[in-house]
Amino acid sequence: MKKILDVKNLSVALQNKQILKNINFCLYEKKTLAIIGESGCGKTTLALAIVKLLSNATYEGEIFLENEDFLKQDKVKTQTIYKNYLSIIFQDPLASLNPIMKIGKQIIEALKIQDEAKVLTLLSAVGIENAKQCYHQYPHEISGGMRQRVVIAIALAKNPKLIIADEPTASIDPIRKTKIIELFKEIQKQYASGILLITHDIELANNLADNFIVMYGGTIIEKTQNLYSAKHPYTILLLNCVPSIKKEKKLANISGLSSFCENGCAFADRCPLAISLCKTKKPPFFKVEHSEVACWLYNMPNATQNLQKLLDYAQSKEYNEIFSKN
Amino acid sequence: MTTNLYLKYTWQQFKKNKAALYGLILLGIILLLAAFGSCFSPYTYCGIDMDNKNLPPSFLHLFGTDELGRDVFTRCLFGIRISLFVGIMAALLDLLIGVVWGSIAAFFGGILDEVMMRLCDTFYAIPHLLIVIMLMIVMGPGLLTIITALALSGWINMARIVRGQILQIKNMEFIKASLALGASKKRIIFKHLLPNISGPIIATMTLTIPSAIFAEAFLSFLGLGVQAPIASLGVMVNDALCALRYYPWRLFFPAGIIIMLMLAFNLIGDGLHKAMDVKQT
Amino acid sequence: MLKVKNITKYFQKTKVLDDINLEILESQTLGLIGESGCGKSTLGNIIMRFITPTSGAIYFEDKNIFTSDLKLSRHIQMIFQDAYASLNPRLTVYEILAEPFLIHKIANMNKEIMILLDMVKLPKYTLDHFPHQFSGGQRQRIAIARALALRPKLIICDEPTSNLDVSIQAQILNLLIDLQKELKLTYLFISHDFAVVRYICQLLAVMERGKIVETGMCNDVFLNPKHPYTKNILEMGKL
Repeated sequence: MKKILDVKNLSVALQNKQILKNINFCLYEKKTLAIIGESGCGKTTLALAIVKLLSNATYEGEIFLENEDFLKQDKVKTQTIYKNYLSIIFQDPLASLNPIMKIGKQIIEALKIQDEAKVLTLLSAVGIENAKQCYHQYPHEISGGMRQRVVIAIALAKNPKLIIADEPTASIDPIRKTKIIELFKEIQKQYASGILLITHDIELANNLADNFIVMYGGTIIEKTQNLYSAKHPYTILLLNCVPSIKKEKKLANISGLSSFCENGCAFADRCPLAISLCKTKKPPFFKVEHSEVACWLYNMPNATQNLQKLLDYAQSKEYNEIFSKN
Repeated sequence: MTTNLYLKYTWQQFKKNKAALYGLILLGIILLLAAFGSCFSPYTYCGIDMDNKNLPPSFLHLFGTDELGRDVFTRCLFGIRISLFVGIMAALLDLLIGVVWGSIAAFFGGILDEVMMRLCDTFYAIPHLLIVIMLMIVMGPGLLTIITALALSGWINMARIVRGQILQIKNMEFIKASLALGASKKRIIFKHLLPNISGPIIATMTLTIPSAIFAEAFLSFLGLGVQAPIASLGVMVNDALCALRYYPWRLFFPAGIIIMLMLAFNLIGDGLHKAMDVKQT
Repeated sequence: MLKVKNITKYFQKTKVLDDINLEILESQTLGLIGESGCGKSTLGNIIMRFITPTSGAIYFEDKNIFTSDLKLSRHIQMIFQDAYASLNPRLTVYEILAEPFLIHKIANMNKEIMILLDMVKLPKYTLDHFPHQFSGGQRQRIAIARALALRPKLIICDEPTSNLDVSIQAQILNLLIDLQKELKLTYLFISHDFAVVRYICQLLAVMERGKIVETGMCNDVFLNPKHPYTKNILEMGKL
């Protein structure tokens, strides 16, 4: 299968502050990769770094877009790649669209299609019911969901090889966001693009992605194909923090705040199962079932029992008491 | 206790801005000169010496002399005092009128707000020069007239800024939270509203001062300013214009000081604005 | 404890709330769920007396909150969605927490403030800092501490966790539940997130465009929704 995106040993610093360290992953065509993490983990920085939209950034490492290192391309080549290869869907559709231009005109300008009929087909393809009416409206006159569809339409129109979606449902009313999710599923079926989905919404990621990467403190801590059987303590705790409409359970507590860590595992100061090794040496990736996990636990014999202990402990009152002083 | 903490914090942020610090140092130098400089000068600002008129800058006369033999350097020092006095007083009056007007309009809203702001707009349409001339006829020329004239044309800007700031903050949740705790209107205004708009207001004031100084200089340049022998920097520039070709120092020094004063205030005002904008830091 | 009777509100010509009737019982959590713009926050603002209703009445312990001279601040408090906007950026945390005690002239202010910090599990050094020096979750804790200062019986939570990360949301929700048990609080929990409402609420009211379309025990509404709108949004929520 063709590799659309191959990130090798990427480290990014912004104004002398290290934000990302040793990021390695690849994305294949027709596949969706979700990068999951909370605020401060560096996932938005990663998205912007991949498309070279970060200002004052120092890069180390390589980003291969179909065999050529994107970081080393000159301005002209970069523009061509933006035009033909890449599409980005940002979080806030209102900010992505020109507020003083009608929708139809914007699409024509963005894509240099002269044909009104083509634009109307494009709008219907993303599920906008009254395409002709939408064509003549301004961005503020249509709903948030429709705006995001227009942005997606523009992103898809040039048949890009790589689509990067940064929190695509964040600005949409949560009760209505399923519709956008359905749209993404349609896109996955019809287009051969690889989708890089960046989100903190675990349900969204689980619905759309084939592969998952979990980020914490600027590094990747887990790569897995099956999110709900994740192995890293942070991922497990995180999954148990999400309330569920289907079942009753006590939500886990991860006390303290995330930070970037030079030595040792980034999660060590908040992890209830941390050992002294965790604080001094950065764990390599260990292969466990469907995942690759950067956790020293998996170098030790009774990993599974420890994890069960972890789960029970995280939902207990004692854990909350001890870690609450942070 | 905590106002000091806030001031300390603002000062820390201000210090980080190199340009603002330079502005502060520059202003400090100018102020020191204005306050104590004349002690070191053997001349007075009005001492006429016809034998030594129009002398270029020399060791005896640092900035040269003017057409009546008066030492330009000493006159500049006094001129700074006058210009600063006019600028600061005008800005303070602006502040007083503008804050009261803008707060009443914003706080009560509704029809009162509409009426007050439309009055503002009408007043704004009247040319400044007309106001100055009318005041001169009524009050006679002099320092008080200039200050009043500048204040009357400048308060509108302050009123609009104050009103805008209050409208922005009025609906913020922390005001609602205080109401929920049972705070009185007086407490809300003095403890919550005013401190939060003081940042932009002080920053605006620091920028009003240089424009008042310049406006005064301009009026003096037109002959509508303070009268001889009191000389503001603007009057000196006016007097020097006719002799520009032959004795350029008479223009350059006062003009140069006006520029430096304005630069200093602008840098400080900008620095204050950034330092006090808590959300940006 | 709280009875909302026939509350209707017009903003100029638009009907934002249409004949709302609700009852909140002691030590319970009533969830109010609906899409953006359905009026749930407006209802919260009316109960807090920030806005006056066009018609209708609200009774707290059988006293009309609009006509009686009830000191509402000692009984009902609010936690807002945007924790940062709900804290005065010019005041330190100490001053923010001191305000309710100063307004109502309550003694032993410093001791009370330390108790509040302890309740929301914030360390002592928090007091000397400004709101912008904290993260979203910590700010919300400060807001909760302030809301508890006057020991209210009812707290209106207006989407308090919508802007927070998942793990911080879990912390705050757990904190709210613990506080409810400890202090016998009653909550009106406004949200758009079904899962969160399911976790924290016992009773539920569903709002659509200014009207309450369904009420009942939380579990009942989720398992057997009766109104077509409730069925619709529950379907949409099922991924």
